[in-house]
Amino acid sequence: MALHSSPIKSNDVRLPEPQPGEALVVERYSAEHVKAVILHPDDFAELQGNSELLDDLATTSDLSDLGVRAHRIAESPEGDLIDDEASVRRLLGL
Amino acid sequence: MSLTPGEVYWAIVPYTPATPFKIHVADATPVEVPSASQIVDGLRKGGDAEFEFVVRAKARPVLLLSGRSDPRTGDLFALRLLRLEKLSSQERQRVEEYREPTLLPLPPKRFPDLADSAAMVTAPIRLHETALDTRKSLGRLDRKEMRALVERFVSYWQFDLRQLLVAQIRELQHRRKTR
Repeated sequence: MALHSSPIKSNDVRLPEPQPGEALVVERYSAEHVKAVILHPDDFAELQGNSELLDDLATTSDLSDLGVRAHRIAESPEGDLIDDEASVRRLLGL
Repeated sequence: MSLTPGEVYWAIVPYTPATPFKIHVADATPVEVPSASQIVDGLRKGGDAEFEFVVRAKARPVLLLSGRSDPRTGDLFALRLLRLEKLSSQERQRVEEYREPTLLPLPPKRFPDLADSAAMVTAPIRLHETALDTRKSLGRLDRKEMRALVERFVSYWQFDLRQLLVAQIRELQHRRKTR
């Protein structure tokens, strides 16, 4: 999934100014609970670019009509069901 | 149906058929057969004949390895779970500390309605969507945990993805140059 951005006006929040190459990690209660990470715009652009590249590379192959048909063929009974005991035992040599 | 990889649902899951196989016969107890070859030979003698097998099944929680489902087939791909209470305390600790590559523990805080469990990398199952109780998800692994699980799965089953990776790296290099 590509990284997308959600703009917030600078008047609405008070944030420190990160330096390029620096990630400011906002912790809640302890270092285990990270609430947000603040990046320099250049670093975010790099991260977003990489994210988009990787997302574009994700390839999936779709199920074709032939694939669906093959599936139906494989899942359809082909012959008679044998469920009388004598016939079952005879076929199995029991 | 909208499903997400890493989600856990209750499902009807058969045990994997193994010897002795049990063949259903009308109005009698199932016929037990000790080997697969005996059944193969018997059915080949009978042309397109088919047997109905008796397979034990139960309701189990399963983890969806893929969120992909196609209404034309209804197929889903999932992993069975193991309840950690079935293990010794030492074994359980090994799993909970992520030291057992074939068992990925499910974080209890995200699966509150599920007994402490681990996803079994060695036990993939194919399910029909109608065998899944989709009324309520029992929780979901996050993306990072799903990546770890998929990596373990690919590694255990020895899928050879090297050429795919090489092709993707080359494509990545090409796109970086043209950006």
